[in-house]
Amino acid sequence: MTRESTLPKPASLPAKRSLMRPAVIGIVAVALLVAGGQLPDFRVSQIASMLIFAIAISGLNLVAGYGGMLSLGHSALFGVGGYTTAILISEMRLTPLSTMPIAIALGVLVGALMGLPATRVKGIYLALVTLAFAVAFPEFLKRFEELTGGAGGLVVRSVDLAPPAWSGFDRFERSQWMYWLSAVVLVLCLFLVRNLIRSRRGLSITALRDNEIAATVCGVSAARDRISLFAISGGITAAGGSLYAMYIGALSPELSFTVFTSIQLITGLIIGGVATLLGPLAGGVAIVIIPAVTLDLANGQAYGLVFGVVLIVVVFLLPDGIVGRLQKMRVFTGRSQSAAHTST
Amino acid sequence: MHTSLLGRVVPTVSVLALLTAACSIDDQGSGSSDDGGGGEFTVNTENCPDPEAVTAEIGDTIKIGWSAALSGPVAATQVRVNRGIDARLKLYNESQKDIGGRTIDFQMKDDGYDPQKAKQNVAELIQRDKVDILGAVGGGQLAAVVDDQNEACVPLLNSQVGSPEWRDVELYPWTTSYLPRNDMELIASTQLIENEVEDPKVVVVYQQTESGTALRDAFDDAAEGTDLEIVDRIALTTPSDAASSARESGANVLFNATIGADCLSVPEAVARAGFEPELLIQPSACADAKSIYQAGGEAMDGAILFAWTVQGLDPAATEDEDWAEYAAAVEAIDGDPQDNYTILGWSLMDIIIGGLIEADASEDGLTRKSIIEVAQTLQYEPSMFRDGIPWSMSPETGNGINKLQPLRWNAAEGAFDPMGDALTLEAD
Repeated sequence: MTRESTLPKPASLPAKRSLMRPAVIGIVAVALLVAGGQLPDFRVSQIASMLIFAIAISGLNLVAGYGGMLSLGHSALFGVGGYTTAILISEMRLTPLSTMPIAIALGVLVGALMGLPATRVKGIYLALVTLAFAVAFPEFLKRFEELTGGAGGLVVRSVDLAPPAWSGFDRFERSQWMYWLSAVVLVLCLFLVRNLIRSRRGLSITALRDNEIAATVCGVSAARDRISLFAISGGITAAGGSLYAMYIGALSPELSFTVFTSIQLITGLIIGGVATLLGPLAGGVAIVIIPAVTLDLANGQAYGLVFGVVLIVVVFLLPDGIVGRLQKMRVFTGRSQSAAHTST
Repeated sequence: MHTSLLGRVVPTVSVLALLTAACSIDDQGSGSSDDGGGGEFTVNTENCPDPEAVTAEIGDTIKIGWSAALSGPVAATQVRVNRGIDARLKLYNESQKDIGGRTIDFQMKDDGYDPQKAKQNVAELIQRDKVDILGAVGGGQLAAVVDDQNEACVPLLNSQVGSPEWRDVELYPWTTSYLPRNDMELIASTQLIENEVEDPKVVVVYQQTESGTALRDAFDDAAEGTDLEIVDRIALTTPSDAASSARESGANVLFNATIGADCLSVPEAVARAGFEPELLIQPSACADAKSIYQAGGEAMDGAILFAWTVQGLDPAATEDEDWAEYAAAVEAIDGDPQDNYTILGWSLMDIIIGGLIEADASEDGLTRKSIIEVAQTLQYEPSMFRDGIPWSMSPETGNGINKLQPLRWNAAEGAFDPMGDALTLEAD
């Protein structure tokens, strides 16, 4: 064997491989989406709701996964997006799509507000502070009854939620429209999260999570990075909320955005895989599909028991979540993950 | 540190989940009957996704699919309503079959009182199960499904919702509701208060829920232009706090704008607080004599309820043949015939079956179109309704129950005493 044969492979090979992977993933994703769109309408609608929750979980993943800050207040951010869209459609007669940027902007603002305490408190105390947002949000909605419909909630008529003419979908194809719209938004959100985490700011965020003292000694601004992380997370979660309002058409402070919604999002994140890019997608599937399957198995009060047992089993068997486990098995990469992307 | 935090949260979330678990019209006629209902109604099927399916005659099996809370905090009441529904269906399927010999296939999907699940359930019922008739329980749930169901042109009959919001036949021609309209019921309540109390000063205790605030607002509207003075509106946090505030309000009438467990807990707290209003009025949803009025003992004495069905604890009501048929059917499925929620469920399905018989006898035969056209104008005498109170649906009001009988609870006798004649409900 010559000495040359033991040299590292040419630099061009990893570059080719890095182009191949996204291309293959992209083709598979598009093929899956097209196949999903061929399913019966009620299944397409179900998948659309999975994608919407995946977006919201993706927002939570930024803070709780990559940032290491447990937030119990993301239901409020989800609700900010939902109510902004519903109010703008029903009161100001805006088109659903045109409400999304405003919903996201408000989500960013409220997210930044929620992130302010993160500069002072950590861990379970931060969780408690964010919980206050989740608890206060429904009460806030009830208080501003003129705007939000109060406890009676807000209803957006389906005629106002019809797909735009350019989409090619008619009013009976709203499920298809929501499916494709949610898919596009999810892809954009995942792309944003991926690039953020791989950026210098992302490295700062994970460094703060893993060793705050070392990170700050190296010049990382904990306050700036944490607030901006909460703000971006708020924008993504509000985008999910905006889509949720378009999907469901009826919002209620008691039923739509409660503390239970926060628990749902956290559950999805844990099942899917904390601090993994695709974990929120698996989590969205889990929090929509597991209840649906367990409802088929056990209608009535037993459903909740079965759901709880399934959750506990999943958590015990897959402590890293579904995607975390697959990553450990090197299913996606064929190599182990970087510490930053797997550490929780 | 974050790892151990999430590690602590994982089992907590799981246990929390476990604990949470455990615990388009074209035109309408102008005719109406004396009871406020009737008339003519024609539904436009041109905009339906499959107009031919809407006018196609239904085969040997009528498929009915409901979305309701079979789990979660409100499931206990729904389960009692369901016993009445099941008993009425069993009686039909086993010994009647007078809808052209057809069998009724009834399925209920659990939505856990979650609008998102209700929406998914209704989509499945329409598209996969291809049901002929739908049902939904709760305002939030109906709000989430009503547009989908109307666009699909599948009748949704007798939704268990008191709000007038979904009864606009021009917006929701394929939807009917069972419960009396809140606004009309509360006009009757204010009339009763004016008749019974001199210089009425009313305190309203309301739940901070969709139904609670709807009742509060409807009472406000009903009181406008009357002699009633609403001295305070108290949002229910704890019953004892609400009772103390009510006592301090200087009111002589209490309207308990709550449903569920608070139908009992608020009057009990009021009695404990030493507040003795001249009138305590409960909404018609606080219907069950056994679990609310009998259980409340002296605290419930004199409480007023508006009713349209017979009361299970009324000895006179339980002597006729209709009662015997009902009681036997309910007992056959191990239900309690005296449970008023079961009587409500029985009556609800009795009205649907009555409408289906009429639709089957119509020129078009039994089709989705004929079902909704009959349902929007149905005149019927449900067996468990009180004498003199028929089901008389009008597309103009969207209301089938147009009379309510005020009843006063007599704790010593353990029964309700009727207060005069039934009151006719009027829209504002």
